[in-house]
Amino acid sequence: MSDPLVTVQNVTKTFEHEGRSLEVLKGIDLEVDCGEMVTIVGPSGAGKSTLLHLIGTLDLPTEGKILYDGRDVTRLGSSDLAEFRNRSIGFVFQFHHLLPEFTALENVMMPGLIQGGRRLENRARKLLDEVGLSERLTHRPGELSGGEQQRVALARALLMEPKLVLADEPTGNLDSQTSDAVQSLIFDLNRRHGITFLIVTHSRDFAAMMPREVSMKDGRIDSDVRRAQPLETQGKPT
Amino acid sequence: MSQPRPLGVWTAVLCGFGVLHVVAVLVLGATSTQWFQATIGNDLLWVRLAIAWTTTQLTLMLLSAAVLQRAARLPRGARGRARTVGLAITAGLHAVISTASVGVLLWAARVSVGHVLGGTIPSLLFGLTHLAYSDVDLAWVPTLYHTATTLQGVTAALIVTLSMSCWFLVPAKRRQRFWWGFDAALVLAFLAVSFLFPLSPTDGDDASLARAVVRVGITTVFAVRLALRMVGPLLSMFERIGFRSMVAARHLRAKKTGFLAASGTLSILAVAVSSCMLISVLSVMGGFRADLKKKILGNRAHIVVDKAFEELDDWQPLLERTRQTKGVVGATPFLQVEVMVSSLSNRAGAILRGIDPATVSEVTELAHNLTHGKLEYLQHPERILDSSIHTSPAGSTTPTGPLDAMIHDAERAAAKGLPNEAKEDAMPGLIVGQELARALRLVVGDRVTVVSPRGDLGPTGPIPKTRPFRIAGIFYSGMYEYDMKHAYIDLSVAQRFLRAEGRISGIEVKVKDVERAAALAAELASTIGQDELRVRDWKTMNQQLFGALALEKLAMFITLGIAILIAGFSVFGTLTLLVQEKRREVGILKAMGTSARGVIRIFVIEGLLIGAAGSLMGLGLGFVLTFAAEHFGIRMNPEVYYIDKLPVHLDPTEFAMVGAATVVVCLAATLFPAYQASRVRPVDALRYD
Repeated sequence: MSDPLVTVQNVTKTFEHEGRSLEVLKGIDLEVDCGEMVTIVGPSGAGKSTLLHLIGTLDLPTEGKILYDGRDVTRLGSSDLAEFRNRSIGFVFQFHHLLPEFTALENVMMPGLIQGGRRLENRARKLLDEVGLSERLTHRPGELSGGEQQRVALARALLMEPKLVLADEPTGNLDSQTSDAVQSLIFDLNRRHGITFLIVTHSRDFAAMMPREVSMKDGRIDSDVRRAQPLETQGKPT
Repeated sequence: MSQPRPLGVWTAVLCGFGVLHVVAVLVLGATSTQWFQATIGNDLLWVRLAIAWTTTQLTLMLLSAAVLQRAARLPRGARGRARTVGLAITAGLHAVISTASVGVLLWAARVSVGHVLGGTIPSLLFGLTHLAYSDVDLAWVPTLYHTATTLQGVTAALIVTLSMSCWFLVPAKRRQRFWWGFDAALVLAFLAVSFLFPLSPTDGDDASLARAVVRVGITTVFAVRLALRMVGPLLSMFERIGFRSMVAARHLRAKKTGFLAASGTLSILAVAVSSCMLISVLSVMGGFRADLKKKILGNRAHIVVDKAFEELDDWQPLLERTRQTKGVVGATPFLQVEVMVSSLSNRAGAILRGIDPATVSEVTELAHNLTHGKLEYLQHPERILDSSIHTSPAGSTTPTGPLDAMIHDAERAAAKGLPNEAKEDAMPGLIVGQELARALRLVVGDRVTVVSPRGDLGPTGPIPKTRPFRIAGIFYSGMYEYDMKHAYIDLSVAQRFLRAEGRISGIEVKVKDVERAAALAAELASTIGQDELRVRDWKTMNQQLFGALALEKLAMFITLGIAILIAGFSVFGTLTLLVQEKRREVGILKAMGTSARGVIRIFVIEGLLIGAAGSLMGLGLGFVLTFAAEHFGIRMNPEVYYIDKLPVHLDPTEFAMVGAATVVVCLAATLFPAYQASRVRPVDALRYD
């Protein structure tokens, strides 16, 4: 196999809180290949979300490197980093985090707009159609249900055709039926577009469906299991 | 019904009544005491009015009691309950005050108490039979009247305020429909007044003034509604410009929490009020300056050529050369000296100027400023008596009453009956200013003695030379200093009288472009080429005056500029709040790849939009105010200010400057909050909230 998509090298993260330092990540090494589906599981406070934020360049590691296609992103300036995030990474958060003043379509188009006036309207429509929301284009987030909002967030994460989508408990506050729908949508997108997903979840069922499960404990990687099972039948990603 | 609405017919009637009442109080206030005193004389009208008033107030009292009772039955905290209760209590209080004040007034006017309390037909009859008063003590009435009106006005204003807050209880759809109707009517009204009514009233015509006021009023309301209607479409257009303006416009459009909405509205208002104040004051000060400039330029030459301490000999070629200089419109010689003018009743110091009547009109507005008499009388003083109509400066030239006519005839007869020798040996004419004429109690045709310091040498030393003159005209320049201090005579007379044969003090020059006077003065000095001659333009001559005005204006700009600065603080506060409220969204935007600079720009645009809205509002309001003041005229006491109307000068560059200053202040106010927003870390903003 060629270079991994993401390489995390000996990353530590320390937070200062009222003069005391708190070591959240204590040396993480991780490689994620292109097209992989990885889930990160572990008890609360294990540092899953922090790791996800570091990989998503929303925060910088205290020590260590994060490489994308062999390029160290921890050394990029803030505006380069912003552009990198815009083009290469899609985010899906637990609380979806859509912009309340904009319609579903505008929310999906937002990364394109940020990038400099590329409206990408047709692509946004197609994505919303793909996540089954073609009827809801002009609705504001407040007028959508939780599952619908999460699907809008997914469509938004995919707009710029990123190689990597980071999801922090995407089904965290959805009922089981809706979360099943969102999960199968994620698998579907991975299969059809070859998008790499890195998903933090508490859901055992969801984790069990994933071909690779990284389990964390106390700021370290506890186990890294690759299962050949579920995806083998559905076809290998490119 | 889930939300009980106390706002029924009752409350609506109360609201309507409040509005009507304020109109009534305003109308009464406008017509004021004269009307009131006149009405007291008219027994029947007075009683009818009192009865109508009292009856209405009693109805209002009953009405508010009924509303209060209905509102009390609603559960606490029900929508609109507090408002309705407040409205009903105010209306009840108001009715009591109103009735009581009418009662006191009637008592003061010594009307019997019967119909004050009743206001019914029996009491009307009772009142009519007892209205035998004739000696109404009017001295009482005005103060009582004012007190009563103030009390009623205050409570009525409260009613109106409460009524207005009830407006928001009306369903949004109905409100919208109302506004459509209102706007349609407004457009029609605007078109109608634009075609029918004049913009500036003709002087002294109250009806045309009222029409112009109505036109400006309707046009203003129309502009305000149009601006409000345009806000939505304009923001939509703005959204299409780009990502940042799109986010900014959406933020401003979004429904905000109550506090932020109030703070935003207040900061727009603060910017509007301060910029309106600044532009109004600057316009008035500009008006004073323009007025002063006009008067100075009208009374004095634009450029004066003279010598510092001497008079000029052989000035004819100099005058010719000056006339031929490019840019010079006219030039006239003058001879000037300080003298004493004494009339039969009084005496006063004055500056006596010998002028050339043939050319003086090329340079100054003297001929135009004459309110009485004629310029030609200077050269032909005998004509003063021929056509003499003795008039005082304050009086009119045409006889109005029988007494005036008699005096007029008598004066004419007296003038004709003057001995012939007086006509032949006509005294030379003298033109004085209005204030000097008033001080010396002079009218055209009167005789005055002028005492010159350049006297003869007598046996006991120098004796001042005196000479009688006849008043040939009285001028009003609008500048107290000129009207009090200046007197004009014919140049040749002056030369003889002042022993300055063939000599003049200097040459007055009028130029084409007054703003280029300084440059032209320098040019003139070089063409004349005589070093001992001074060539000064009007700005140099009045340097101190204009310098003081400019300083005053600068001080005003700074003082009121501070008001804009304070408005800037409120913009700062609003934006800080906005940034706090939008933290999460900023986090999302940054996670999606918005750079720190992009975030700064978004909030700067928001602040600029607030600032621009405020300054446009303020400048618009300022324009309406200054426009109205310029065209309708705010009267001032001419005895005190020597101007009868508040001068206003609208200067587009000043409007642009104030607008720019406001926007710059708002821009500065946005920078720090915007920077704060850019520092929001997406991780913190997105952490489980």
